Amino acid sequence: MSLDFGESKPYGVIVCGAGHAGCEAALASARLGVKTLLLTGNLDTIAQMSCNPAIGGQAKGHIVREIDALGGEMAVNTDTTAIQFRLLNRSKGPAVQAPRAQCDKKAYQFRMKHTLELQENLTIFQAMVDQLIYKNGQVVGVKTNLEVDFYAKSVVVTTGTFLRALMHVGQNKNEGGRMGDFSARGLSGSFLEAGIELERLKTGTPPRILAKSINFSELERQDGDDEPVLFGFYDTRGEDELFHVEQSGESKLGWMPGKDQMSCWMTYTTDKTEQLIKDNLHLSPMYSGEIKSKGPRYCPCIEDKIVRFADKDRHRLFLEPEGRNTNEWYINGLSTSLPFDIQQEMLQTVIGLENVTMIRPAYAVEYDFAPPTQLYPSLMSKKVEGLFFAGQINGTSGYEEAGGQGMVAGINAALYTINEKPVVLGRNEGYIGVLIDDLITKGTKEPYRMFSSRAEHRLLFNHGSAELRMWNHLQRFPQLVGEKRIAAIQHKRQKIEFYTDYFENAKTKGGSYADLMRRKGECSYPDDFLSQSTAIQEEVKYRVIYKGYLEREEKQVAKWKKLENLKLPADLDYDKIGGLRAESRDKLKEINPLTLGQAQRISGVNPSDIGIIHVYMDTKYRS
Amino acid sequence: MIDNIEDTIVALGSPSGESAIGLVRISGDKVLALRDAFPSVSNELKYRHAYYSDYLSIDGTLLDQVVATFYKKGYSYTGEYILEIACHGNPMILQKVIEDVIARGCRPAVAGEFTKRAFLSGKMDLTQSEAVMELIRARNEEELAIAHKQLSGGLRDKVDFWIEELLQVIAEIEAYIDFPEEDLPQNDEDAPAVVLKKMADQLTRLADTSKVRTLLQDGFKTLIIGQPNAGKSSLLNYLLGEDRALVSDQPGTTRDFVREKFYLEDLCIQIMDTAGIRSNADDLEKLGIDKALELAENADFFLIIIDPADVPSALPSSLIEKLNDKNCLCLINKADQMNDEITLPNFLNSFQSIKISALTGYGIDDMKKNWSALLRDLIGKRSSNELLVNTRHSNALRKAVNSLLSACDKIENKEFSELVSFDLREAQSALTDIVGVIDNERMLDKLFNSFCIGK
Repeated sequence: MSLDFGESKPYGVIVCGAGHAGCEAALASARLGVKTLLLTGNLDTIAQMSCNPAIGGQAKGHIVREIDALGGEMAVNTDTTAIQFRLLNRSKGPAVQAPRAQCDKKAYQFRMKHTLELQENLTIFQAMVDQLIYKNGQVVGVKTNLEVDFYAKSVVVTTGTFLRALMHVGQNKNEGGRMGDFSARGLSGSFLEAGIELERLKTGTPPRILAKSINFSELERQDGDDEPVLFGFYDTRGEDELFHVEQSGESKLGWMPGKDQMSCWMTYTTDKTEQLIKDNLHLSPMYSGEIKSKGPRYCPCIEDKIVRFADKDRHRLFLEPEGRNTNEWYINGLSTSLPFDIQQEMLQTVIGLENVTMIRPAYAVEYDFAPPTQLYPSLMSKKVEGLFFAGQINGTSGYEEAGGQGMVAGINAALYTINEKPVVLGRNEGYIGVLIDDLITKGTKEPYRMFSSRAEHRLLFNHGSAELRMWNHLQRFPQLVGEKRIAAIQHKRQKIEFYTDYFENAKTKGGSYADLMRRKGECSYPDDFLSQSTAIQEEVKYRVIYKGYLEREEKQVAKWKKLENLKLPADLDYDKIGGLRAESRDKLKEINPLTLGQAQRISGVNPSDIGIIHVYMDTKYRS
Repeated sequence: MIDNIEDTIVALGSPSGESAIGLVRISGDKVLALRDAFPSVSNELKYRHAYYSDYLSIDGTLLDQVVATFYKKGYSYTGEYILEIACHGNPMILQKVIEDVIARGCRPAVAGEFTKRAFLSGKMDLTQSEAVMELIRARNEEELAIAHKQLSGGLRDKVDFWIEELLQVIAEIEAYIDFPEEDLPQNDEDAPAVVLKKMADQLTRLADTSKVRTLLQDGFKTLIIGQPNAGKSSLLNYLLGEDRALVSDQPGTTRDFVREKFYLEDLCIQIMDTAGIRSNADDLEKLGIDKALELAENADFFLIIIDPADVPSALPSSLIEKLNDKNCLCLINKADQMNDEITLPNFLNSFQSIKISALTGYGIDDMKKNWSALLRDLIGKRSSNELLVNTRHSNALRKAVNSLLSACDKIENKEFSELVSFDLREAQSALTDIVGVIDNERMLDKLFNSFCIGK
């Protein structure tokens, strides 16, 4: 496919940015059969892990599995390039167990780039987007730094941390969204011009060091699981679709998933670390007032940890390899914006790092984001038709959160192009649904990260059920995963339903299978059940053993849906509803919720306001 | 559209039937135009002023002499302009006035519409919309006022306090679920049980007050029982001072149930008169007796009336089970006609008994004194500003208690912490049914304040 440019040769969808959101968006759109262009400022940093070389973890790992259920790439890409797999929360129940993997950063990038290159309907091109082209309140294309313009019916923007990005190392400031990279200076203007508000956020990353300079003798090793739990669903894929880039013969599978895993190491800060930080706190732009933007509470810089938790005598750090073919390692837990020389000195106070060689300093980065309350649940802007946002521009943090939004934005941009109704994932369907609803309804004050505790129906979200939870959407768009996998998922669903039902009713020694399973956790299963895939067996066991909880969850969902099904008209005039409190009225006008359920989740809108709208709607629209 | 909120609505504000005064109430913007019906209303309308005036119909006919009071928009019960017309309580006059108001462009209100408007204009703060709908259906405006008072007062503070405490417990559990790789302090999984049990106790205590509140607000449901013609209806009439219940000397005349409220000192009594209870009743009366036994299920207090000439030999056992020396008072009626002391049968022996005459009033003061003392014992000693919750709040509190105790069980049985959290979140949700939705951020704030997260 040749590169098309100019107004006469429009694309269906243009995706700006090829990070974790952009890649999923471009692939989803192309896989839906829409002619798609992916623009990136630098082809060599596609799907770059700018921070931690890891994917997954609690709630995040769940998101990756949901991405895979929707036909996204992150899961398979992780499985094929990960160098260590661990299932977290093994001591807890299945709903809150989560897969996590350390990745080979470069391998991850290369494979994703390769996948994009081979994707049908998708063109990738290296150019930086400077400006959006609007026409009659709609976005119609983009202008690039090469002075080549591209046109499309819809545009997905995934700017990451690059929008008017400013990096801090102590008092040293450089423009750029990542060390060594550029800053997207012009694009912010395009948003402001369209009335899209922008605010600033801050994030940071720790120093990188050479492994050969680490003294491992006093460190504790952390190995991966012998039998890794992978992110992709391989029980519903044919052997020919396992690793499609590799199996097309284009690329070689570097190593089998889970083979030859590498270890991470644990170490600790010392009293000296604490003293050094305290003595130099005034040099940290976070503390000198230089950086005013809000950073993430769950990922504070080391300065913050020392100050806020002064009673803690040491802080644990993880040393993580960045890949098989590099000696560069990542220090998890030591992000900072202290000046370079203090960083160097600080590293030497950490156990095992006394003689360490730092090859990249830690830094903080400030960037523009567009408060996500300006979006519909489809992730389309309320201000500009056809303009979609995904990833850190929406105030989130994390590769997984970005990927999840990318999927939804990509699908919906494609659907917008072909005039079809958008896909909206519900809070009852999975973490991606919770993520997007939280963003568009509540907005965020810090980089938003998913926690399992944000999901009110967490017990329904065991990671193994992601395909089943996405089923309704998959049926609508079988192209996302292919007809063969759809059939396999359907088969899996039927088997799970059959056995769940069977165990409930069939009797064995000492009662029904279900009784035994709930009482003892296990029982001796019939042979035909044991011949089913592990995925089917695990899911059936989960559904039977946790039946009571799952039913209670479903009951809550049903209650929740009642309000969710009460649609609010887009032109609802809140000024006409007399009894609303002023604060609620302002919030409601700002968010313009689509359903009464959404209205209820807006912070600052209290139940009596909801009651008032409910009665008003009831009175005005009933007959 | 049946109940367009822009319409001006009219309804009879007093009970239907003949009475001294009948109140017609109108709400909406057209109230201002209705002043034309009152020649005595001054040009410059004074709100909250009782105008004594003729009421002239739209064609100029004098319908009645009335007292008209206008309420300003934003300062009335519904939040709209309101006009209250106090007419003479003749149903025909009231009908004519209402018809005339309708002729002037208003329409009859549907059930609960005044309350609904009060709510819509923000005059009432109510919790969940379901509860709102319930209350809108309830036409008792007093109930709404009480709900309102409750929410603005101590209940909210109290429940908020528990929610804070609960969120802290949840945050401490969630930290270990959501951050398994963090270097968190050793998790003491049993620790929350103590806090939760204490909270469950406190919640239960508050939930129990709903019983007292119902007694004080709706009245002590008091069942008068006794042999047919023992004088139940006469006593009732004596207490109420009116001929409410049908009295005759034919045994078993009271077949319908009479429910009346009156005050015994400051205690509200909801009295239920029943068919006389006797063994060989005809079918129709049998129905009445069954009903009486059913009423006894929910009764708070029992008055047993005994005719000394016809002392009952037995009472249905299902009724006897309900009685004790705290909720029952025996009245030996017709004391004026009595010559000898009577001996009460065993099953009535343990109850206080008073001799009275429902006809002459003999012993009635004595009865009232003993009766109210028993009732006061029932509600126990309470300070006047103690929080008493209503039934809905009580149900929510009990639901929370169940969830808290279920969580404690799980903690003791070492079940997975996400299941403990599930119960606690149900408890939280029950509590938020009282005060409104709590943003999850409040829990996360506690989590990040309590633990150093960020590996």
